[in-house]
Amino acid sequence: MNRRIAALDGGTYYHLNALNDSAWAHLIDERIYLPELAERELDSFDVLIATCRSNSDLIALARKQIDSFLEKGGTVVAFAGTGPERWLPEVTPISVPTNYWWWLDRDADSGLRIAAPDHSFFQAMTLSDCTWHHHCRFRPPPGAVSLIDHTDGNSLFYEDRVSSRGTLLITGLDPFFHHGSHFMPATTRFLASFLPWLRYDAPPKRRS
Amino acid sequence: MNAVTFLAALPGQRSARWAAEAPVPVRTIHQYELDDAELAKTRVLLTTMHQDQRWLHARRGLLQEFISSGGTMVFQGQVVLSFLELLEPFQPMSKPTLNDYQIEVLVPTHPIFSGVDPDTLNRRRGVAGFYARGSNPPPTEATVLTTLRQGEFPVDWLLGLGKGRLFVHSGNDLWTTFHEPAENARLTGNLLRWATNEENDP
Repeated sequence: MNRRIAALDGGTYYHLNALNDSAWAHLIDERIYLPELAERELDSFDVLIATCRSNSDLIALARKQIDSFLEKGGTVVAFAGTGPERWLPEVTPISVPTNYWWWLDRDADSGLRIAAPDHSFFQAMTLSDCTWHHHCRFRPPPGAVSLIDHTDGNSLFYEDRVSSRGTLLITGLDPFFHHGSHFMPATTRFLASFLPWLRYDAPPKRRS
Repeated sequence: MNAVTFLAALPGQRSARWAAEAPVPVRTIHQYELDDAELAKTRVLLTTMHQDQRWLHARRGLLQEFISSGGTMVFQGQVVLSFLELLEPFQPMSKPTLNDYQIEVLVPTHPIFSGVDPDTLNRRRGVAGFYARGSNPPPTEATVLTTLRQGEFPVDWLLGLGKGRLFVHSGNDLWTTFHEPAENARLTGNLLRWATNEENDP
């Protein structure tokens, strides 16, 4: 498996920093400039990454291309702040108060739990790589697989292979923002593990 | 003539609370509407940390001219692309200690930091870094207002450029600094009053 990856570049300092980090820049085939997304065809890629806080007004303008990309079996990854409910099927976000402080408590518990230990994701990632504050969780649709649950019953990260012919990876995490802001080591570990997993080890595309 | 033009970058910024409650009128346009006609309508251009720097860089001549001819530009965030000739890329503090995050206000009388306690600027509940974590390096002729790591990393600075002014904040948007909305309103209000009062410096 060697998937061609496109990632959205909104020109923000954190996108420019995180997408061009020499540790993984070679794993991203193209940075699509966000204002040009609506004029782009996506069919030459296997994966489209909506990087953290990419403006959902602009992504929603490309809904037709994204639908067609999914129809052909593509994988879309939506990070936090990208409003995936506006441009992907069956996405239900649950807004939660941000707890920046969970790790200050004596018996710190982020509330996060591995929900699919046998998934190939966890051959590449640890829960600690995915643990920092987040702003949003999701209620996955029936048939989707939660990878990381919160103790409140919602999912922080899920895979949906039932709502389209492609694969949706939806999360409330924002690693591109924090790594690109030179802040929070867990987000650097996340990207260093996640991007190789995405490129080489993700489940094969489903075509029917 | 509108006092302040804010370049919104994210959907929620089109109707931001800080703009509605600002002490001076704020006109919000989408960043991709920025052109010479828009710049001709305003004296103050206010940016956000979420700005598309590729877009700014492609319009660097316009921005340079806007400031040189008397405009005030407020930049917030980390510089990656030098959309003004004098700007250099952001330098993060390497291996910062908690003490390094302490903000030092070098010019406490400056109207932007009037009434603001420097001890609270970069900390919430003992966690530091909400305000800034490094520096957009200023040119030597800039007036440095605040620093990190005991003076080593300039965070906020001012520069006269031609007939205009540039204020650079090397961190998160000022209206997100504090947990309390009233404190954010005071700091943002200070900034906007300074930006619209061309009498007071530098």
